[in-house]
Formats: sequence, structure tokens, C-alpha cells
Amino acid sequence: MSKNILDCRGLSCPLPVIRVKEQVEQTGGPFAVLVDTGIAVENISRFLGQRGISWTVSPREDGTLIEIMA
Amino acid sequence: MAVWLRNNLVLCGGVLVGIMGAVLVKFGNPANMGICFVCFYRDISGALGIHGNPVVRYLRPEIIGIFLGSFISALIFREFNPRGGSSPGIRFFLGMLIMVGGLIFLGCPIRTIYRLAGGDLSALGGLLGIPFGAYVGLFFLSKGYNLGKARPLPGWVAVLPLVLFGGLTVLLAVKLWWQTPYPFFSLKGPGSQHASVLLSLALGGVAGVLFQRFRLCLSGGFRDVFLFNDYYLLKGFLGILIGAFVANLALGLFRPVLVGPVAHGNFAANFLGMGLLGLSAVLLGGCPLRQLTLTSEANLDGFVTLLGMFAGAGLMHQLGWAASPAGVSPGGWLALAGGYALALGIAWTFTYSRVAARSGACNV
Repeated sequence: MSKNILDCRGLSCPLPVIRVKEQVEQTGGPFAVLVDTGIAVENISRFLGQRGISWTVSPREDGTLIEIMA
Repeated sequence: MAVWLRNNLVLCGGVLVGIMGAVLVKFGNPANMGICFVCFYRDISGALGIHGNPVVRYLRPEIIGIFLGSFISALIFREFNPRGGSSPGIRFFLGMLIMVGGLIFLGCPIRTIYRLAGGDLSALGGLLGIPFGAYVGLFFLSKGYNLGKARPLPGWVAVLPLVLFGGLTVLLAVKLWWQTPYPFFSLKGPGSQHASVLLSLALGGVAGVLFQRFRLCLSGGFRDVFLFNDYYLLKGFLGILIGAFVANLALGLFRPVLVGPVAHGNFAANFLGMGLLGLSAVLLGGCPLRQLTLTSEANLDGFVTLLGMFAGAGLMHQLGWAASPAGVSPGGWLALAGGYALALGIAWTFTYSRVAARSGACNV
């Protein structure tokens, strides 16, 4: 479980994936992002797949946690 | 094959939507208007009496069908979550601006594709306008634009969209059974042209499931290309273009002309109109179609935007600012200029004047 969790619940499309992109490009390092819509999970997965970054998706009580290995 | 299918499922969904559009035109809908969110919201707005333009009033059953289809799909796939509260007032207003742009061009992103697929070359202005508007909107998004977070809402709130669409269904049934004067239906013009109610409802329902599953969104499609060089969502619209084009050819509906039916040929107005729609859509996080699917998922922000679009259609037609095949009126140009000023003002305010929103938006 990564230490840093980016809480992107409640953000309009496509802000969650923009925040992930910023984090990947600026800080990097393994981190996790918490989202609460299916479309955010899909957008982020597509972005990571395209960049060749591996990730895991796990549903939780309060949303979906995406752990990013960048 | 399996991988190709997974990557191109959205293309196949688009092809189906394209074919359905052509079929609806064949069975009575106005030319190149199989499904058009801007046009249909305007017609519903007229049927309810929000505007009084006698030629564009009809309770389009496609919209009820799309709502139902995507509502059922959201329930099945557990995406029905009551939420809202991300600057609803601003969203209502941006919804109105979507209609200002859409009613200057005379269509939504989907109708832009249908118009091209039907041979209407004037739609090119609109097609170029969407990426222009999306690009301007993205500039603000990348600088920190944010309308704030939506939060979970109590379950009873989710009933509100159901009440609206239940009410529309009852009104439609009452009109058909008893031929009541209200809701108002056009006797001539585009509002009087429509496929049979059952066909519209059924194809709308299928389209609703496809829209909910594939998250089709043309402004989002261009947005992803600019942001991530990702063409996934755009493939859906390529699918609509292919499906509608082939079906139009097969049904004898393809007629290449400079300016098609229910359209005008002013390139600047078409470009700037769809530009305003694209800009407002990116600021909202979804085009007119997405706002309806969000509504069906109990997203009250999408619902408020939908109401804003009904209001916007009412205003544009009540004041005579909407374009027509005759072109754009001076009031229409004024509305377009005012629309850009307001949209850019909102974008600027929520990017630069609310610095806290950016840092507070995603807590690391």
C-alpha cells in the first residue's frame, strides 16, 4: 500500500486523470489514487496503459483505489 | 481478435448508433436528425411551453428512451450513485451556454456527424469548431480549473430525475391517447417530423445502454487526443460516421450538398457555435449527451445541467436568437458573443480566482 493517496473522488471528468498525469510527470514514484466513478477508473487505466506504467485496481468501501507503480 | 474487439468495442457501438440514426430518419425524423441532443432538448422545451416557436415542439421519445436505457444499464452495472453539489448554479448556466452554441450551429456533436454522413458539407465548420472549443477549455483545465467536488447525496434525491422523466412519459401518453392540447406538438416544421413513438422509444433505449457503457462523448474525444494523444473515445464517433454513412447510402438518404436540410451555410457561425458548445462541454466535464447519462446515474449536477439546457433552448427561441435555415439573426450573433464572454469569464474565475480549489481538490 503506497503512502501517498491522491483523493480524486467527486471531481468532474477528466480532472482525476489530469491529476494523475501531473503526479506521474512531476513527482513520479509509486502512489495511489482514490476515485469514485467507473469512467475515472477507465480513463486512468487507459492513460497508464498507454504510458506503459503498471497498476492495480481494488474496489473499496469508499471508492476504487488505483495503485500506480510508476 | 479478442484484443482487437476489446480495443474497438466503442467503434462497434458507434456503428450501431450511426445505423439507428439513419433508420430513425428513414421512418420520419427530420433529415440528418436521427438523434440530436440539442435539437431534441429544444423540441421538448417547446412541447412543455418553455418557448413558443410553433415549428420545434415535440416530446422526443428518443430522449425518454435514452434516459431509461442508460438508467437500467447504470443500475445493472452498479453505477447508480446519488451525488452532486459541484457548483450546480454555474452548471445550470453552462448548460444554457451549450444551447446557445448548439442552436447557432443547429445541432450537437452527434448531429454534426450525422449531417456529414448525410452529405451536408456545412457541418464541417461545426466539426472544426468542437476541437477549437475543447482546446480552449483544456487550457483552463490544465491551469487548475475546477468547479469543486461532487459529494454523495441522500438516496431520495435520486428520485428527482425519475420524476421529470416519469412526468414526460405521462405527458406523452396523455397526448397520444386523448389528443390533449398540452403538451404542444408542432403541426409543421421539424417538430412535426418524427418516427413512430414506439420505434423512437425502443431505439432510444438501445442507444441509452450503448451511451452509458461506452461513455461516448465527442468533446471528450478531442480532449483525450489533446491531453494524452488517446484516440479511444474518438473511435466511437468514427463508428457513428461509418455506420450512418453506410446506412444512409443503403436507405437512399445520402445527398451531397453544400448546405443540407435544417442547417445553414455560415461557416463562421457554425465554427463559433460548436466552439462555444465544445468549450462549455469541457468546462462541464461532458457534452449534451453525457449530461443525460450522468442524470440517469443519479448525478444531480448532470440533472441541473439538463434543466439549464431546457432553459437555454427556451431563451434562444423565445427571443428569436436561435439560427434557422435562413441563417443567424443579429440577436444570435449577440448571444454568441455574450456566450463566449460568459464562458471565458466562468473559466477564468474558477481557474485563477479560486486558488484554494486547486490544492484542496486532490489531497495528497
